[in-house]
Amino acid sequence: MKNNQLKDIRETYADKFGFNMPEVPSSKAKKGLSEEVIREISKNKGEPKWMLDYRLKAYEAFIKKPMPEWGADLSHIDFQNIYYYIKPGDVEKRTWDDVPENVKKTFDRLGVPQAEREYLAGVKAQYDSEVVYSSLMDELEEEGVIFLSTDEALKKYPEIFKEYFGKVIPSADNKFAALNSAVWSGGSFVYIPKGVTVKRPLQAYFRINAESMGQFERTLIIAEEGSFANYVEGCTAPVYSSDSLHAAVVEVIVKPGARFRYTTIQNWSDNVYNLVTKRARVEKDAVMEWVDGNLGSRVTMKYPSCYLIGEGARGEVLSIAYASTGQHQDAGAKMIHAAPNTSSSIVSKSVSLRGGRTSYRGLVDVAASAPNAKSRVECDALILDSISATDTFPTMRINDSSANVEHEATVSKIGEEKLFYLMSRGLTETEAMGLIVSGFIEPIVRELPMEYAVELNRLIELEMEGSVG
Amino acid sequence: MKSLLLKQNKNILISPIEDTQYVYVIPGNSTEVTNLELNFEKEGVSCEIIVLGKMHEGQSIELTTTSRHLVPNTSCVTNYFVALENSSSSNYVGKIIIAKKAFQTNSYLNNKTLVIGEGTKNITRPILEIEADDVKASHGATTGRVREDDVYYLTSRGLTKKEAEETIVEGFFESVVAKIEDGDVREKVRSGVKS
Repeated sequence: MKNNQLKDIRETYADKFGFNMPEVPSSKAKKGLSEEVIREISKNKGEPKWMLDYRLKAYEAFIKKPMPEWGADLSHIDFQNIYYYIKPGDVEKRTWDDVPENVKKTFDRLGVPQAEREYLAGVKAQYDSEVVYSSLMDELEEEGVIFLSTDEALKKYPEIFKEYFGKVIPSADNKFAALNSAVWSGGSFVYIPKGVTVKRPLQAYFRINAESMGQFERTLIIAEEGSFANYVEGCTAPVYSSDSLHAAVVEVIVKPGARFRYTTIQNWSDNVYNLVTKRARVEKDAVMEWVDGNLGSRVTMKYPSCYLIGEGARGEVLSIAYASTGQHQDAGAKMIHAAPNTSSSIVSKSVSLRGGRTSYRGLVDVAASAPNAKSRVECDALILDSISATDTFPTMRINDSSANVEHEATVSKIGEEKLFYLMSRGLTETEAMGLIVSGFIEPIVRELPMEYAVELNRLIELEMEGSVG
Repeated sequence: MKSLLLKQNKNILISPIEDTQYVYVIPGNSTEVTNLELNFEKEGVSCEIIVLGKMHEGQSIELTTTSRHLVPNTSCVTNYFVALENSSSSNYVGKIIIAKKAFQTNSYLNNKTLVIGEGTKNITRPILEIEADDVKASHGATTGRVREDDVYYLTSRGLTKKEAEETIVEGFFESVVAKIEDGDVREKVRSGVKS
């Protein structure tokens, strides 16, 4: 009975989330990775020589670095069976009318509401590896905010770009950061000038739309002194049969007194390996917040980190992980306290069901040079059935005698009495479970922009269907 | 519940057959990694692990506790209480592993590190690996300094700073020592952590 249900869910998955627009790339590169492919990418983009050199050096590091032996199972990734760059037929369009029909159709299926579509004047949508639609809001330009695709930024602002690129995450940081540094394409570049407050969230939609198409976007964000902004990205990807790799790198520099929030909701289809390196350098009295939702993908390994290098700096991570059949969400956070009076907080909520596995992997590190550090970590896991699993692997490394570090984790299932109560009020078991799961992740959902919160709740409802049996 | 004071050993492996409190006082002079593991293979058994000790100047401890639940309906509470004096260090891994089919498991780990000196190092890795639902598993780990307020209060009552700190450390350990049910074992441990 249960197995049949599972099978049905698998089959209807494509109807629910899977939308597979026809590929329209103009010059499809060869599969596989080599120095030649990297030279080709760089040449295609008309990059300066230093960038080509940077890519080639990163490629060397990528070859030398071993695959991580910890964490999720990555043995099925075949690096030679992936396209590293596809230049789509549709490039930069100025207005909504110019946006190709099939891209609009994709937004339709995404369920982007009409009001929000009109809002797209300020939205960057990534289709394949290049930004197809970009039209900055006038008010952003007026204030001197730069919000471009990373490729455009390299052309238009080479000085700022060179000053900050690869400084927070060196190209040889880890195998997948090295891969990204070698073949990166697309992503966002954000520069917030001193003292500017950006009221509306900066939004970007990412899509993968070619089979076996790895997406290696590169995001670089600089928040100058005393500025404030919220960057939001959301991802949905079509269902494909062969494995797909997503290895992004996100670098954020938060200057003294600034505050930056980076919100991600990712719902990759369940064949994607999502291996992302995200790191922020947080300077004096600055605040960095990562809000991270991992719903889809086959494997996610993602640990947003904050390097608190200025006195009084603060880092926060809010994270949701949701793992269903065949999925492993290995997510967490890292907080490095390197200066006096720094503080950090991590809240992680994970749900595993139908054979999924969630893992929290985190690090709180207090250096001897960081007196009076404060850190609080809270991870809660919910297991919905007997075939699912969950792990917690936190590390606290405290080399200072005045630190105050707290960690708490719990694992539980949905309480029978809660289910019984809701069902006695007339809800079906599925509805009741959906409601309880929504309540469980609510502390994080309420931090999301409204439309994302609505989308997320809609997804949870869809996912809960047929989970009772 | 029976209380059992464990002898110093670098590898302690136990499959409990009855409800027991296993108490281990951290030796100050140990340089070896200590591994204390409870394998729950008999249903209905409920145990406690109590590991505690004060690390004097320059001393260090490396210790792992594991409560591995292999059958349904077992429970375990693990306590790791350590106080760190000048330049001492603690490296602790506390695992709770719940195997598939080990339903109705109840396992909790409580780790508290009290820092009284300077130049201390403390690494804590509380780990949960849960393969079954219908279980309760959790851990809490804290690291903090002796509160200045508390020391001030006690010194204003006529204690020296050293006496005040000693009293606070005693109270810190007492919260777990008091749980030891066997009177003889409790007294031994009480005097053991005082020295």
